[in-house]
Amino acid sequence: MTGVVAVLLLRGVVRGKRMFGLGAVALAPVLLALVATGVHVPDPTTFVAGVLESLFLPTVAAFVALILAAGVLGDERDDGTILFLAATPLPRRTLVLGAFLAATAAALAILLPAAVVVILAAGSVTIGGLLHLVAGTILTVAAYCAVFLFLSLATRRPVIFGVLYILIWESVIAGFAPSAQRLSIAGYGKTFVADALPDAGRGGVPDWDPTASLVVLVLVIVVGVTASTWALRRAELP
Amino acid sequence: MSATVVVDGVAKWYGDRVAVADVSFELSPGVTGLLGHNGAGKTTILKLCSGFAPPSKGVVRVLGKDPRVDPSAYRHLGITPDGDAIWPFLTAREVVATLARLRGVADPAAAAERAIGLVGMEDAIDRRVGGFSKGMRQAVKLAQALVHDPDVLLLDEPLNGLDPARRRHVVELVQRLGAAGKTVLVSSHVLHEVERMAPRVVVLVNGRLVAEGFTSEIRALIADRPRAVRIDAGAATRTLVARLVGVPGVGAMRLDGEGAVIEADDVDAFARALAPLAREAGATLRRVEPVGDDLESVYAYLHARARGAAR
Repeated sequence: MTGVVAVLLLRGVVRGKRMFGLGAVALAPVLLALVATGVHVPDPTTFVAGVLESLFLPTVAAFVALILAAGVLGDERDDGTILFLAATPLPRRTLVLGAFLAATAAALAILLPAAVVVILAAGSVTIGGLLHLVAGTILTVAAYCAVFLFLSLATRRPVIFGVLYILIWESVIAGFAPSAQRLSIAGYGKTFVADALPDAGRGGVPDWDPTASLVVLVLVIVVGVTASTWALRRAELP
Repeated sequence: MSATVVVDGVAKWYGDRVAVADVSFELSPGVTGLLGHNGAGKTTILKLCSGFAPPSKGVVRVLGKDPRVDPSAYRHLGITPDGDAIWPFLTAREVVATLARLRGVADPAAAAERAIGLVGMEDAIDRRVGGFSKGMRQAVKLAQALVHDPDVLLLDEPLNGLDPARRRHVVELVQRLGAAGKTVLVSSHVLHEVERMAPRVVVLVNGRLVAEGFTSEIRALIADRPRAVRIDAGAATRTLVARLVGVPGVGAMRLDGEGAVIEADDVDAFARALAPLAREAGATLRRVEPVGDDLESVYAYLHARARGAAR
């Protein structure tokens, strides 16, 4: 039944102008990367890697995931349609899992093509590198969606809290303080994405074991979905 | 007959605001009306029974289960919530069939067609809900509540927005459901509307249960309540009022610029006495009409009576 819930919620979350707006946001790193290759930037590989690591993952991907994850059940709660889903014998875990999959799928539909274009702009990329990029993007976006889904069920202002988290923590603190990267979702995602880049592009990436990063991101997803289930059980519906 | 829905000592408050206070009632198979003015707490009670909100105090059980704790209760529970939002990008068939599937119905497509037929929406079955009128949305909401053939139905103002034909159709449908042994709790703020569907009513006023019983008993209670009546006999009004002093069932009287207002403890006795007295006084009655006979005043009376303050 998770699939039925996910498809229903996906159809709801991709409606309207929201996807166009988020698509435009995802275009920003793409344009930067293409411009870098078009004009004579001294080291385009490093530049594009910087776009990917400093702009794409911690800001653009996080923002797109925030808007979609906050809206997937948040919109349903705001307009009351969540009551129809709540009035089913499905375990609340199934509803949350469906919402998580819907938000992640919608976010990846926007972000994956953008990530691929950016990495191709960086220069010679192997198939293995592309797979690293795809895996890193999927895991990072999924982790963001799990956390922001919880935020949407636990607070009335998920977008405000989410934007503050992205701007203050992911983009600033984690960027300057290496130890803070240990508590940054993007920090773990970068260890995968960096493997897609030539060595020159690994400057700002933590030197962590990709397997450990994988475990951490999966843990974030599991904890986020579990916490969201708990929050939905406790939530007062409209 | 054992109770299918139990509401025991339930209260719900939001900060300082009390939505419902110390409400207890039990429902058995058949239709029960949940009557009260806007803001009386009807929707809150339905939300609590539906498991959409936890009570601040007390216990709610539907078929022996708390739906918040045990979602399997929704297999036997059909709900039409307040508000008319339904996924606008789906057709009526898709809405009802999807929810049938999520509720574990064996053949969701057939069940959806049957439920949509029950509410008389066959003509619009493949149209998107986004283009529906409020009445059509109400009908789809009712269809999704019926699609899994539940034993208990909680219907929040199901006649809102319906045209007369569809209203009659839904009233008959609710009557049939009650006769078929389903437990139906249907809310409304209009007594005569509830009267047509429900032999029993639960009346809420300002979040408190003020009356419970057969609709005919509540109707009699309302009919017997003290009422104010305005009379106008022109220049003879003062003479007529003087003659009404001491008439059984007549209480306080006051003259004003438009005639006189008579507080009648027994409206029937007052009505019987008025015409002969007017004749004796040579007065022509230009106007005899109840004052404050709207539903709000009826609810206020029931509230006062429940608190022991009624005369």
